[in-house]
Amino acid sequence: MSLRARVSLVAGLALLTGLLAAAPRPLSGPIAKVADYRPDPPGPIWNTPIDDAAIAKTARYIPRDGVYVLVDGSAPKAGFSRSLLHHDLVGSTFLHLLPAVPAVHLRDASWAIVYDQPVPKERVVARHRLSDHVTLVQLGKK
Amino acid sequence: MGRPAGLVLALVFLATGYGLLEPLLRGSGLRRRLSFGGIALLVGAAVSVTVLCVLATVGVRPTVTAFLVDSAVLAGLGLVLARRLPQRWLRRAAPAAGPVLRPTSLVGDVVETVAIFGVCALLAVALVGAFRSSPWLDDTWFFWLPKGLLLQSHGLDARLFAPNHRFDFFARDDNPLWWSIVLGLVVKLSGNLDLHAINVLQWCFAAAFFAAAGRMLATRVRAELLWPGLLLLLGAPEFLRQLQSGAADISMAVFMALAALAAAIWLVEGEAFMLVLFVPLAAGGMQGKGEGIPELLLFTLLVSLAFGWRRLRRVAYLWGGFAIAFATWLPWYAWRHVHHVANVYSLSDSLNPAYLLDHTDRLHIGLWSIEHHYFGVHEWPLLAPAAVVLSLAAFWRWRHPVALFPAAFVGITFVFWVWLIWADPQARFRAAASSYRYVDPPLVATALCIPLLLEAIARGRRRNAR
Repeated sequence: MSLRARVSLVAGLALLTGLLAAAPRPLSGPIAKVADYRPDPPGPIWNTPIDDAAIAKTARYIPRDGVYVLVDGSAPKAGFSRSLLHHDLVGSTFLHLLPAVPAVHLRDASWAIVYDQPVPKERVVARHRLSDHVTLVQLGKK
Repeated sequence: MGRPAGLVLALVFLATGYGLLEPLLRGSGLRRRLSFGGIALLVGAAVSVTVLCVLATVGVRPTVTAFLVDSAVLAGLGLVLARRLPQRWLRRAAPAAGPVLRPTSLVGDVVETVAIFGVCALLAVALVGAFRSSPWLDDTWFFWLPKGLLLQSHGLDARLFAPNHRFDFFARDDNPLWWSIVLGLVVKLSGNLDLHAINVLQWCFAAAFFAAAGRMLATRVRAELLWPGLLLLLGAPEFLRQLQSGAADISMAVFMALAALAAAIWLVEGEAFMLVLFVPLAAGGMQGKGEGIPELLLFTLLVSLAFGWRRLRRVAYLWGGFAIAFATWLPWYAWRHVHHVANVYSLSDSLNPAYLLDHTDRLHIGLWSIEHHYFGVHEWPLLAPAAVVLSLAAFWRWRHPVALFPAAFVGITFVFWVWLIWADPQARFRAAASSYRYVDPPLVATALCIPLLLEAIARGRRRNAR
């Protein structure tokens, strides 16, 4: 095939692809899906709505070598996702707080990130209300 | 830097790979060197990050600086070896300079042009999508990326990398560190937790895969059969969907499929370059996920059985290469052993007939899910059925049992995954949540057989015998 014929073929295919991409659904459906016509925000796609911005604010208080606990209403249990909310909160704290680490029990932590729950009454040294959902509590020694 | 961090990291991998391949490409022209771009990127990624995985187990943190030093040292080593190693060694291991098989008819020209356009257009659309999408799989931000971030800031912290009762430790603690280190690097380079950079990097691996497969097959399969064959894989909705998942599975599949192809070419043709290539690609595959080692063991075993008859010396070299790749995984295994990190899959349960007979209820779960992913029309349409049909057609044309290998490969890998799910205490969960990704390596490897089968059918018995 001559170069001219090849260029014409490619131009025709490009035009066809462009028309398909610009066409209304369902014609443009496959391209729209792959090209993600409705862009995502840069952060994670959470399973359940969480207040990620408030979790990010806790990094201002919790030191890099800190140990924190998530108080979100789920029963303490290591190694398993206790609930969808807990799963997403753990993911969010990992992204914003590492190398600080999450403890399973309140007794092992110096900080508590309280999410839509009553603030614990024992060992409270300071509390910071970071949003309607999140209160950060600094815990004293036992 | 934001999303372009994925491209920048890929460029560093590319430069490292070219440095490492320099002893074998020395003296090649620019055009020939460029044709090895996909291979160079994957080799650079596999080797540089595998070195970081090994170093992480002895306390070196895989920071961006450590990565750049590691890459520079590896590339420099390649350049030095290119000058120091004896030329006769290098000539023996250099890639064969066979001619690219171009179409000889107008129809062939048209088919080649349309197929290459299709590959380029789909990759372009996928690149746009990569820049606009955040990884949809929650594993990405729940444990893959956090592991990478913790490795960078603190190293292997046993409080989160090993199971215990005091801390919310990472899920899938048995997985190797390769993908986590890669994600940690790309997100750190992005500068602001921009997870789109992960999808951009994932796209680079996919583009490198098609370039590498094209390079490895271009002298063996005529272009009008090669590119439509590869287009069948790139057009699979599940392949494109998983490119935006952030999961390790697709990149692991890319390495494993090319490693299996390199192993087969080495055994059949004795091209030493393919053996050299097998080692980093196999290491990259093994470092991807916990199941990488048994799966690559199976692939290498099947390739050896199919193509290694009366080629025992080549088989021995291949398994020597496998041993080298396996050795790169041992430091992580040692760390896991010391910290009591068990494998998700239990080998003893998998091989215990009494245990399996006690859990036959899981068998139908495995059968249903793997059958659905292998042969369903909405995920990888036509790939496995096409490989089986073409395999039979090639056998009919060629009358050589090797033509049946792809069909056997589909069948055996199918049984392998059903068996793993059967032996898994969390079979129901894993079949529902993850089995669609487990099938990536066997199906991507199967896709690489399709152009070869088309070529075998087109050649027929007499020309295949030559």
